[in-house]
Amino acid sequence: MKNVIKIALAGNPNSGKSTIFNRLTGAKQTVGNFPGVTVERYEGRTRFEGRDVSVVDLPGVYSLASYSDEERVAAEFLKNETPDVVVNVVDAASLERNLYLTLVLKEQGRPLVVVLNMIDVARRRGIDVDAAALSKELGVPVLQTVGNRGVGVEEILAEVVRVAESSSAPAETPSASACPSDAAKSCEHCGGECELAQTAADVARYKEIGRLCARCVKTDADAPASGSDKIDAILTHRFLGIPIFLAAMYLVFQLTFTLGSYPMDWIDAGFGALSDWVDGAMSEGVAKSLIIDGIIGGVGGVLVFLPNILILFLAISILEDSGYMARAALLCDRWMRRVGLHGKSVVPALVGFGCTVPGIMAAKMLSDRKERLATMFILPLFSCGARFPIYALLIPAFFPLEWQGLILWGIYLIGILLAVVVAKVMDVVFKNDEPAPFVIELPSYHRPTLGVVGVHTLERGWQYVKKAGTIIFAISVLLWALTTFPSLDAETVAKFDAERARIEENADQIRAEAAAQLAENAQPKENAEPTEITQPEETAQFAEIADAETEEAEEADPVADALAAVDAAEGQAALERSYAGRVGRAIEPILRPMGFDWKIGTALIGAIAAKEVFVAQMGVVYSVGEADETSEPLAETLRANYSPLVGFCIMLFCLIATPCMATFAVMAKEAGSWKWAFAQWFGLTAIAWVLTTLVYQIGKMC
Amino acid sequence: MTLADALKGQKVTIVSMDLTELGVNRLTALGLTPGVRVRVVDNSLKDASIIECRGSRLALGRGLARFIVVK
Repeated sequence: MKNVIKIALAGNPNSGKSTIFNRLTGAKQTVGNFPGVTVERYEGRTRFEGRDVSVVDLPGVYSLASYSDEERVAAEFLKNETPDVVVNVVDAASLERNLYLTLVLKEQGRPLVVVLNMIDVARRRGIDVDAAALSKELGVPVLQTVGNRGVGVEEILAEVVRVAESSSAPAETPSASACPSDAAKSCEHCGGECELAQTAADVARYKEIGRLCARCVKTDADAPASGSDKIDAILTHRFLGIPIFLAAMYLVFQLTFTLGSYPMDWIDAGFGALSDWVDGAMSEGVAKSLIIDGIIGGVGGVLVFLPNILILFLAISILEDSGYMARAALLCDRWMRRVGLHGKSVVPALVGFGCTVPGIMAAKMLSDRKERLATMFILPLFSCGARFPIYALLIPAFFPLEWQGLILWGIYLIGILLAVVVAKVMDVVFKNDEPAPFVIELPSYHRPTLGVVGVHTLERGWQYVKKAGTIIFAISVLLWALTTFPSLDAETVAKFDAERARIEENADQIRAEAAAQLAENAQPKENAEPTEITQPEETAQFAEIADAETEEAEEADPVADALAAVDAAEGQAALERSYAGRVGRAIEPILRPMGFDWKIGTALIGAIAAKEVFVAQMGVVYSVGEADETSEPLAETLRANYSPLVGFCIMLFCLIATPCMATFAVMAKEAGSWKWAFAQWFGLTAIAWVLTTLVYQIGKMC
Repeated sequence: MTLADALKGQKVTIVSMDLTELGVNRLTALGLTPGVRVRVVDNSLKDASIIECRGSRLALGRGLARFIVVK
């Protein structure tokens, strides 16, 4: 008797397998990859009557014939890791199709438990499955469940434990019916591998399925047809379908912003408080600057977007789980095909909206190499979640609330349109002779299950947090160092200190002048006394800028403002001297035509590593000298320094240019050569430069 | 007649599938085999047929549907 019972969940896509998995294991899950491939491997543990049960959720497959990575992974897992029990989750409402995999699994010879899932849906459609009869005919236990309500899930564990204990002696009881793979084995010259033998085996399997269904399934012809017909009539309508799809995406992005803004404020305030606390608790110096400007500024600036990421992923999960995504792929096939892609290319693209890296990996589901390469090549144009923080920072900084959703939508749309153009060019260059067959299952619509959607969303959110905690943390520190060293020489520091001392000495005078200025502004004509400017011109300018920034705060202390302005000037001087400033300066001539200065340049260098670093880096670039400000300092600083046109150009450039390092690496691996990765990186960057320059130069004239 | 020519709501039986080995195997795993009854859910989309077969709903590209002979 083994201590841990190892079970594998196998089933068709959309059979409710993931729901059962979540019900069985709860939150105790780990996600990894199957060796050698990038198919996700979900594993979880649970206990039942004192026994440990480990559960592996195999990818959803229709067969084990190794046509896709998913099928290969499932087949190899069953062969090499020999689970004690295979639990085959079957959609009771489409039993006939699902039983194909059941028979294939049975032929593998591992102890099998069949779970008839979604029996409630099946009954509503007038499909009544006699589980006892099916169990007798198949020769394996058959259970009934309603996964999304957790009905019958306990019984799965009980049955699994029973089967595992009874089958520890390999007593393979052949069922009364003929084993379909016998038909294949009877093909003597190949032993069941050749095409003919496969066909023979398939014919035998479907014959067996026909027999099973005739005995065990009663279908009530008068039952109401599934609602999917009516919904599909609208959602996949030849004219309405695409507008509905676009509207749905628009709604998703709009929600991402409006709902996300509240928790974002809380997180922002939290980091502000943390940074204030550190500011008070530590003495001035490099270490304090590292913690406040480097770590809190960098990591905090990225974590702030976690609510947006969660909402976006939640919405995409809901669309996936409800069955709509398959329709979207179907609708898009027509357009995808025109540019030499496949309807299924939509799936990597949609994944790519989350993160380009799994998107490129998902392109594996395309069996045609040219379609696959083209899909991978254009994937970075589907704006990923990491670029989202850039938009989330810049859009509210430069555009009024009622425009924000529209601009975001527009950015995503530009990416998609550009992807279409690039794909078309590739299609013409690498003529595609025979397109791969398009076939996709349209699962019946159903209400998304909170468990599955929630777990997937949290998982993705956690990945984001992990990335923020590791890569982004490291890059933030590195960039902080690049922006901090070499520091200003003593002479310059002394100059700024003298400036501050002068302001403090003349504090009363500055206050009086500011008050006079205020009075003058209030009654411009009557009290027009000429004001004497005794302070150095530079300081006056600083004070003026500072005043302009805080014009609403009438009681603001002009002395503090002037001091802050000096601090900012010092910070900027220090940045210019630093390594980052020097690199930014060096590439400035290339950036100028797009309207970017060297500060944006340093941030763009950070974005090469990972897109969201742009935000962290802008934070570091501009937080120098004003680390004590908490509420939206960066957005305000940006607004004060750049025009909305530049803001838009930054987003456009970040959308198209320099795929991140992870994308670069995975592209090289998946495409099978570094040549593709380099072509993608430089190709997209060149396109970005030309387009952004055009937009900026034309925009400037308008 | 091919599946691409079938009308919405029509119930047809698959006679043969003149496709590559890959295509045939894919469709077989999804339940499309000679002799199976198929209900055409919608054929009005320009490039795809939506059908129902063995209790599940599938969308097939025109490139496939044109080569599936039905009666």
